[in-house]
Amino acid sequence: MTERMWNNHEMRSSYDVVIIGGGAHGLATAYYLAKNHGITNIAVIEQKFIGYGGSGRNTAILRSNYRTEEGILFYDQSLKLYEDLAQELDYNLMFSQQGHFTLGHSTASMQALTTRAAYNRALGVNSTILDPPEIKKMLPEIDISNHPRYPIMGALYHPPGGIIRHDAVVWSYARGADQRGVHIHQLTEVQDILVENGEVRGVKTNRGTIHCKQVVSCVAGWSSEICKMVGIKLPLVTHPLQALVTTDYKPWLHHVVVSSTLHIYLSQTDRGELVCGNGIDHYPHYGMRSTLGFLESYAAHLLELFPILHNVTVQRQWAGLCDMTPDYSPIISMVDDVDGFYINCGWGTWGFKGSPASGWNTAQMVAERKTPERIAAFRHDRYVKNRLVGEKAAASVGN
Amino acid sequence: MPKVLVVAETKNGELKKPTLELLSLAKSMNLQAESLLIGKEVSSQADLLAGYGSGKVYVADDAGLEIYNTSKYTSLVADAVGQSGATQVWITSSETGRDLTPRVAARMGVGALSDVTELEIDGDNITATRPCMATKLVQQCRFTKDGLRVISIRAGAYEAEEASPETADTVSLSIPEGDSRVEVRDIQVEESNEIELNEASIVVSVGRGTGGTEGCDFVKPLAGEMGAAFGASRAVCDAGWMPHKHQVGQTGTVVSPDFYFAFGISGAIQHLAGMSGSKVIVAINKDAEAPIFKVADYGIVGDLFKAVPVFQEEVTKIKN
Amino acid sequence: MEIIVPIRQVPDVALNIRVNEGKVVEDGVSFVISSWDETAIEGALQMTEELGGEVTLLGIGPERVSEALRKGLAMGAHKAIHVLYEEGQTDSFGYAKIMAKVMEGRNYDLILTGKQAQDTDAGLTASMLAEFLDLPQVTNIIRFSDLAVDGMTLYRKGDHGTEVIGIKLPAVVTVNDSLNEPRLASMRGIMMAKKKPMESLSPSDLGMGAEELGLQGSMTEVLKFEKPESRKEGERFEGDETETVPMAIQKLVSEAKLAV
Repeated sequence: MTERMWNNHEMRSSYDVVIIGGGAHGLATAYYLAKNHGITNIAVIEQKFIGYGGSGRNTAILRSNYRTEEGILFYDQSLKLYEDLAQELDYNLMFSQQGHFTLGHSTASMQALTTRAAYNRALGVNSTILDPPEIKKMLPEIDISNHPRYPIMGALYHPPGGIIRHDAVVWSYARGADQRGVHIHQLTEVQDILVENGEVRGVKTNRGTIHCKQVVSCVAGWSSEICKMVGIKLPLVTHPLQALVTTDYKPWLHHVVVSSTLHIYLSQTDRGELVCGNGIDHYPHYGMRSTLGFLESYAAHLLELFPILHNVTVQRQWAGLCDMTPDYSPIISMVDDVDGFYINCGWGTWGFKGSPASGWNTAQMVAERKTPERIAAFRHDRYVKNRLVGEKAAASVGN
Repeated sequence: MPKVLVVAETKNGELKKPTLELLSLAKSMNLQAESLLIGKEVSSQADLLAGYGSGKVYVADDAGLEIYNTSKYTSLVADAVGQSGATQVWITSSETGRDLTPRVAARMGVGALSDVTELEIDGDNITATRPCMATKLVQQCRFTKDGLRVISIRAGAYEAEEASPETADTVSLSIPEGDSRVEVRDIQVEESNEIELNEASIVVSVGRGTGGTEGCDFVKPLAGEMGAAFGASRAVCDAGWMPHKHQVGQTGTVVSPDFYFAFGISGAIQHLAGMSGSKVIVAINKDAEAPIFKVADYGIVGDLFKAVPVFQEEVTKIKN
Repeated sequence: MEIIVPIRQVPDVALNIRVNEGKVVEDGVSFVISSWDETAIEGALQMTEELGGEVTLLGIGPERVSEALRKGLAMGAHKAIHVLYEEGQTDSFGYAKIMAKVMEGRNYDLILTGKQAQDTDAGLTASMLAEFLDLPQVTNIIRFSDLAVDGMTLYRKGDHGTEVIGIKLPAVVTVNDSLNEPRLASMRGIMMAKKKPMESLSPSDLGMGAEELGLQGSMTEVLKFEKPESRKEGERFEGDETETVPMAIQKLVSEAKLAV
């Protein structure tokens, strides 16, 4: 008999909690609501199939070497949850904690990396600065000469960082939630959120209306669309983010390599393929389509770092959507004007690594109906109160 | 007055079913039809063409026409059109038809519509429906200028009606020289007494659920017993469990039989593109959520290895 | 050996294709080289690798077609010609006329292309082009051999077997995807593609007037696109196969008139 990891259920007419978005964040929230708080009458509503959005499209890099105190502690919690997650969910997540390099190619960059290393260490996160010869010892194929346009000046080396199999995370959270009684409804599109007297009453979908008192939005790139339904405007702008994977080669790259200045990152899966990513496309757009411009720009920068890769062939390109916030930090928050509505978004290019902590803390917020201390800094009203959590330097590539 | 010239197709000296479908279609639309019979030792088929409704039958019977030859066949069609005064040329959308249709159209200075699955005819005004985008969409097209209408029609899109015996009024065509730059030397045929996929009214097909060559061979005898052609999904052929000639799909053979039995096939979109024209789809799969059940007229959720022997029993019962 | 490979840029048919008011929605669609044309590019590259010479790609369409041409150059083709064409709906006849104009005065031994384009699945343009150029044609080839500058042996997938055909060049040949597995573009190939020559032409450069372009130059038109009628799920039988199979067969015989 075919065994399913999660089951299809008839949609009930009411649930205690409805989570919109069947990605890693939504499913982790459902899982921790059930596991940590005993709340199981939950529906996860997914417009396509689970992992269709960012969770299935990211380059699966995990790390906690962020810049702000709030950020470092949040991603550190997340990384520690990841370390035990395969055991917890009883599924091989292929988490390879192989170490993570962020290369610096300018004095400004090195200054920022050095500060990050110091902040990391102060908060108990393992990060250190390496000079080019030390980098070369660990990445023999890298070009540390003065030949490239922006020669390497050093790197932030972060041993706990690594890569994981993103699909496995989605599927195993789904299974864990399903085993605890959560209903996952795929191919179900939310058409409206019903609010009366400032309180959430239910959700209207293409398969019927669900009555509920608590709705959590975990839809990342589509957040503006969902928040429109409750009349909330968020400072999010959605940009495409592209990625590519090469054909497979025998294992040669044993660490994750990121270059902010060159806007590229790469890692090698244990199947031997290089998974490669870039910065976001410059323009806001909802199209998850691949362009030649990305390929050309990536190839140029990659060959500056690793000249031996000139014959590496590109197997496949794809793209996902990133909901960018002004401070490159997420928004995990209750909403004052709408009681029972919770947003979890603003994950930009930094979402997948935060999934476990995002789910954990969002679940706590929904269960206790108040904001946990650890994510207090990520409230949506911080923009109005000018309390931004500036993570641009650490969250993405581009400086 | 519209007049259709049907380009007949033969195999081993016998008319192929799609040709009969085209003539029956013309008849059902009350269109005057004539036909063109090309091949080696095919003249005897002229009467059958007449029986299906053809008026004059233009015959080009020659050893050099046994294997398809673009230049010779195109010249013959042009000749027949000239002599018959046909306003429409209908060709089956076979491999031969796909090569011939555009060459004929361009020769006559007109356009063409290919792989049509539905026709609406009002005199010489034709609206045709045809699949596109790997059969994910259909498009409705028409001819925009006056002139000869050249169309290729998918086999199985229409039914062949019963024939009444007739004697044909034949016209012999002179055999063209052909293009000296092309030498059609030979045809490599895999000898088999198996029913061809694109001719069968029943197809028994296997997918990944069979688990390997042994599994496919377990199902194959049922095809023989049902008088069916044996097909396989792309996954099965790519994995080397069955030769590619059995492949059903857009890159294999597109089939539209009366009955399509899918054993252990999940129903991926590429496969559906190759058999969605089947009249009745019967799916046997142990996964109740397999996509094929959404398109199957009869869906049996069960183990194909247990089902096949029961099928064989029932088929034997029916035959006796 | 000089080979011209006309390629077509199409929406990626592996993805969801949507229709709005009878037209295909292009917004947010990924465009790719039609897969049979990729096979043709690979075939052409293999031929020039054996005999020497160059592969020139030909693309007709709006600005975005240049991306498809660059991807083909990244695979290893040597040059590209882009006919910048924005005249709207054009059928195979119309495209074949434009291609014939492009070929005028050009030196080539072979025109090699996919047997059909993945968006129209029409399979008409190449043969019409062959007729307009008065060239011999062989379509749907699955193999080639005996390569020489003036001719070769081609193996065509016919209705009754594999047709073995000797052809003298120049000629028009179309390919079946069993011919080869197209190579992927390498990082260096992608970089070098930017430097390879891309000739840009307009229909007026080709001396074509409005009556030869768009719908005016076409012989057929598409009235609308639609999603095909989807089949509905029929009857389901679950349980012991010794019971479900006879039940299903009984229905097949009585309702669907199955006869063996």
